Amino acid sequence: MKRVLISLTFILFMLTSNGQILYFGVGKTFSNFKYKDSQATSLNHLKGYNQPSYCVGGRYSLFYSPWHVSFDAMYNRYGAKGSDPKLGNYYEWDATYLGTNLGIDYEFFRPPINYNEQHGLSLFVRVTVGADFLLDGTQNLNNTLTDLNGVEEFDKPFYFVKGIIGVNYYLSKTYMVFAQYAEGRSFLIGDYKGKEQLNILTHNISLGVAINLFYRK
Amino acid sequence: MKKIFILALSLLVITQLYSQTQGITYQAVIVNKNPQEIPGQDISGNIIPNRAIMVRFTILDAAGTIDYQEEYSTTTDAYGMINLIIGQGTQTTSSPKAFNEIDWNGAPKDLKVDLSLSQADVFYTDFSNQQLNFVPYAYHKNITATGTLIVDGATSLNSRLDVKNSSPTFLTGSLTVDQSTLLQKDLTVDSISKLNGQVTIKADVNGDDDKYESYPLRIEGSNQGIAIKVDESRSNSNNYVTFWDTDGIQGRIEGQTTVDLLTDPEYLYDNSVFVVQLAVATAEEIGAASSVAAASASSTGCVGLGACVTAPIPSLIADAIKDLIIKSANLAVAIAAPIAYNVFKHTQIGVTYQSGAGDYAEWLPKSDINEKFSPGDIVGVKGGQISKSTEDADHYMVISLKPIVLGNMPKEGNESKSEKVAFMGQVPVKVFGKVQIGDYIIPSGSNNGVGIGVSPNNMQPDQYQKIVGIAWEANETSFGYINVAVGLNANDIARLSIKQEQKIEQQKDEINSLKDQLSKMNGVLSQLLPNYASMMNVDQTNSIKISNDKTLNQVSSGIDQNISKDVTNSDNTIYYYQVTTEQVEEGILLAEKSLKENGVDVSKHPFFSKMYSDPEYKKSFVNKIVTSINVQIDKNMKRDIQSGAKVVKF
Repeated sequence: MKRVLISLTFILFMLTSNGQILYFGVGKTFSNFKYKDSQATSLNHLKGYNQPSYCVGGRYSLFYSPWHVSFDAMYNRYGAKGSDPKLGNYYEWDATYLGTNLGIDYEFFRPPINYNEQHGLSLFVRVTVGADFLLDGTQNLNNTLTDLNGVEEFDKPFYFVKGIIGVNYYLSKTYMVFAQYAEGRSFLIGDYKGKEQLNILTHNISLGVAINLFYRK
Repeated sequence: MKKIFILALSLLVITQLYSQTQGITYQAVIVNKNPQEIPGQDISGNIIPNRAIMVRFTILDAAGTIDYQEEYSTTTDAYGMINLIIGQGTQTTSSPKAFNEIDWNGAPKDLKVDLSLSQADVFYTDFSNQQLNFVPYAYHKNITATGTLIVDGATSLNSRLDVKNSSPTFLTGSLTVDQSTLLQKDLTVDSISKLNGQVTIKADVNGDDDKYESYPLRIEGSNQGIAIKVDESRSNSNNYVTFWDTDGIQGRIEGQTTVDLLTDPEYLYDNSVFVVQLAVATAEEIGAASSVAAASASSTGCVGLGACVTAPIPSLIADAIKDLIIKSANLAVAIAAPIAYNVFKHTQIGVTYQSGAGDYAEWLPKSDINEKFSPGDIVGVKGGQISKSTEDADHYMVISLKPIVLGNMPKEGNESKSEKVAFMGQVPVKVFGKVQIGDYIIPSGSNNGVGIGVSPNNMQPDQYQKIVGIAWEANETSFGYINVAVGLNANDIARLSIKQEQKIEQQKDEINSLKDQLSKMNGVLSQLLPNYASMMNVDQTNSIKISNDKTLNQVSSGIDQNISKDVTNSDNTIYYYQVTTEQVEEGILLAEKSLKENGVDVSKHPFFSKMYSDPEYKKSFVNKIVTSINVQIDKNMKRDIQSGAKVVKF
């Protein structure tokens, strides 16, 4: 039900979006876990996952300045795996999240419009905050798979802060392509003292296409 | 301190009894009781490897009281495993006893295990508490099993096995016992029993000898008694039964061989008697042959008749031949008897009963049941009853001291009415006065059970019937006990009979000679004196014929002349007549007739029965007699010729 609700929200946002720029991208997300148990003991030697990611969002110019406000949704797969030879344990996680981010960016070197045409490169830096919600996931513990739905550490919103740097290439005043690198880190909200603490570190590289809806109109 | 690990034990407890050590092997893998926290589902069941820990074992009885407690310092291995032996740890001060003093009495016992994950800061946490089942203590000492104990494999008990509470023990297989076995109660064997070793029956069942319960060994349940089989062939060194008491061997039943028989004193004595009888019979036969030779000579006919020729008297010859036949028959019996005796004895060799006791005895009733007897008393037997009064007794016997065989046992309770009387063997006898070895022991006549010794040379005929026995021991004192052989005196009577018979024969010959003289005289007188024959009832059939028909006076004068001639001028001619086979056969008939007249059953007589059943034997015997007589005649003729007489043989 929760999954359906999130999906409907994303589609509604897409259909009702009235932003200046609509973009969507495809990329790769490298994720890893940062975990401390209730005794504050870290779980080391975890190896991250490298999984594809998808995003779609809108970007709005603030008063035609280089500042923009963005809102997007991302489809991410986070995971990690590790083992403990001493105890003979092997564990692996693979979880799919739908994330929503609200960000603000500043665009440098945006090319001017000449003769109603716009071509050239620009650079942008963006900071986003958001939350990721579990869609599906499994845990492999010593070759035993369990569902992560309902598991406290995973089936909760992961709050993220991401820093993004990217390049736009204006194909025209309507279309442009972009490439970006984003590094994110989740953070916990609430009192987690004496409790297990799981955070996700992400590195994402994406390529995408943006459409300037304003000019299309 | 961080939150203490709470550990759970996955126990694999294996117990084993070591012959060198005592204890229960304890093996466990120590795992983390709480799960390891990781993202998502936590990991449960992690082992705790290479950890220095403390383990405390506590054995509790059914009431929860500590029977034994010890602790170990140990380290888990790479797999979280510990291997310990309960019983070899460090006994704690809380333990009331040592491990080997635990009473495994069958009541439930628990094993409680506590664990401390630190050796420096010891803090025990309950590990486990579980009941010990059969396995841990079944191999330990002092096992008390309240239920059935079933062991499918071989069972080795290194110490004693007690089956108590009067519980029966059943073995369906064979039982082999390497060491000695002591049975303190009854032993019942329902099948055949073989005892390959020496068996000693020592039962404290003393009692009266007439009580069945008084005897340690009783054989019953069969119509047969005891069968004794010794190894090897019978021999006097193989005893079937030997009788012992505190003084040593008192008797035995042993095998008898031919050698044993040939050295048996009784056997030797019997054969010596046979030799004597054979010698006597031989002498009598030779004497009888001489009589026939004498009867066949005519010298007697010429006595007083000058040169007359007189024929031998047939009746004298026949009578002599008859005697010769009888003596020959006796000789034949004397020869055959020892042969038959020896054949019998040799075929009867079997078992000899030996005993320190020396006589065969029987219980004989007392004439007066109040009369007292003691061993060695001479008693008179009258009508089968005994008394010290020997007057008019039928037999004279001795009270036995310890007979080897005792017959005619009286019924129970009647022993006091009888006494053991020696029938044959050696027995001590009370004697008075000097007794030499070989003396006859006869009653003293004082009716006091005492005897006297009489030398065989001084025996009076009336004393022979009173012989009790022969002294085999001398007595030099006025009164004493001497060893006397009883039951061996039948031949003494025989010797007396032989003596008397010889005397009778001697007298008989003299009478025959007188009868011959008288017959001759009657014949002469009948011819010389008219009516003499009728008056004297003389049979003249075989009378001597007087030659030349001389008158009585002539005869008388002739007799006188001849007498004088015989004295002064004898003719000195002796005539011998050859004995014929017919004469011998006639003698056999006369001998048979004589024996019949004396009440002898000739048909059962060994000599005559063989004579008539075996013609060859008869022919051989007759020829032997004829030859024997003629040999004797020849001897007599030679003797007469050597003496200067003139001999004529017909």
